Amino acid sequence: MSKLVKCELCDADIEIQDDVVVGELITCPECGSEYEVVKVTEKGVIIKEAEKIEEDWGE
Amino acid sequence: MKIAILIDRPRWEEKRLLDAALKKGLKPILLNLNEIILDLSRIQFDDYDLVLQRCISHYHGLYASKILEDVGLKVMNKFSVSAILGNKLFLTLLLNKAGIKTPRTYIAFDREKAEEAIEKLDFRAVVKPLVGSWGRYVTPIFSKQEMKPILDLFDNIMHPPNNVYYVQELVERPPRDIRMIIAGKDIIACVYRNSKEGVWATNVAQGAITTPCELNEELKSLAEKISKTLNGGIFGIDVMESKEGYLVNDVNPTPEFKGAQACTAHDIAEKIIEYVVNG
Ligand SMILES: Nc1ncnc2c1ncn2[C@@H]1O[C@H](COP(=O)(O)OP(=O)(O)OP(=O)(O)O)[C@@H](O)[C@H]1O
Ligand SMILES: [Zn+2]
Repeated sequence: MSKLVKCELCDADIEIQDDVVVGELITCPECGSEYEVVKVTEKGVIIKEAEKIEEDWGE
Repeated sequence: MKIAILIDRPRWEEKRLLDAALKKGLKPILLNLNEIILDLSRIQFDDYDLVLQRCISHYHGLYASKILEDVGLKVMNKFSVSAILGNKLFLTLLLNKAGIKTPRTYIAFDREKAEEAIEKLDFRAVVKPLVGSWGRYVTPIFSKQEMKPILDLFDNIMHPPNNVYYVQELVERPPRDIRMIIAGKDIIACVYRNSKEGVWATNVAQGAITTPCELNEELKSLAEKISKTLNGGIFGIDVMESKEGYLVNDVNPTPEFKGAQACTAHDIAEKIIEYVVNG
């Protein structure tokens, strides 16, 4: 069973996968807002707005 | 064997690597750089046998690698290798020295000289920041008129240590490139990255779709040469198909493989972990 969290910007449901981990970035499927997972609990996850993509990010 | 997967923002890939390590009966942990403080006067990290460096911030990954290697931990890829690969100037130098063909590349330290380099390339060039990925700010110039506005934009985003003009020939290629992932001597994935309709770059991060690419002798020997030059490790190699043959565009030290996995039969994460454990 996947968890759901509400997008702070557009109120859409964002599906959270079972293997979610703290620090992961998630994207709202409706508006594209980026969030970072701050906490994972039994009930769900807590998210905060992600920081902007830094110049040295990548693979 | 205890292995730490060093992360800052865990992606799909890092979770697959964690799964794969668990499946192998290892004791993996995700070590998040954003959750630790390192005391440089007494670093203790004897909890792990090996660290797999998978940070998305190039510099954070580098700094942490240096610290961990200094206390005697084995970090993969090595600090010295990631330091080179994370910088396009250093990487291109290394490839050229090793006799691996790359697009023709000019370095200029001055704006006027950068324009001169672009003119040498008949105003068909690509300018790139030295550090950065996912194709961000990699900008093609197709004509003389485009040069000035593009360099103006570049001047605005460039600041130390990135303020060097890396000017490359605009390679005539199909709307795709080849991504090989290697672990030591083995090629563990080989796919085409077909650029998204209307997009010039072939990065998966920019919407490219992967399709299987059959290996041939030339690609194999290219991979082998790069592996030898870098003395083993895990890399994502990007190859362009030019009229003059294959040109190596990039070698990534913390390759993403979600795109490649989508059209690869075996588990790429498992192959990486196997290599990390067995060498
Ligand atoms: N000289 C070139 N000629 C033609 N196309 C190019 C050239 N350089 C780059 N490209 C295209 O732009 C894309 C991004 O360039 P490049 O790989 O150098 O940047 P990057 O930000 O390091 O990307 P990556 O994260 O894949 O390494 C390439 O995948 C390729 O499709
Ligand atoms: Zn939203």
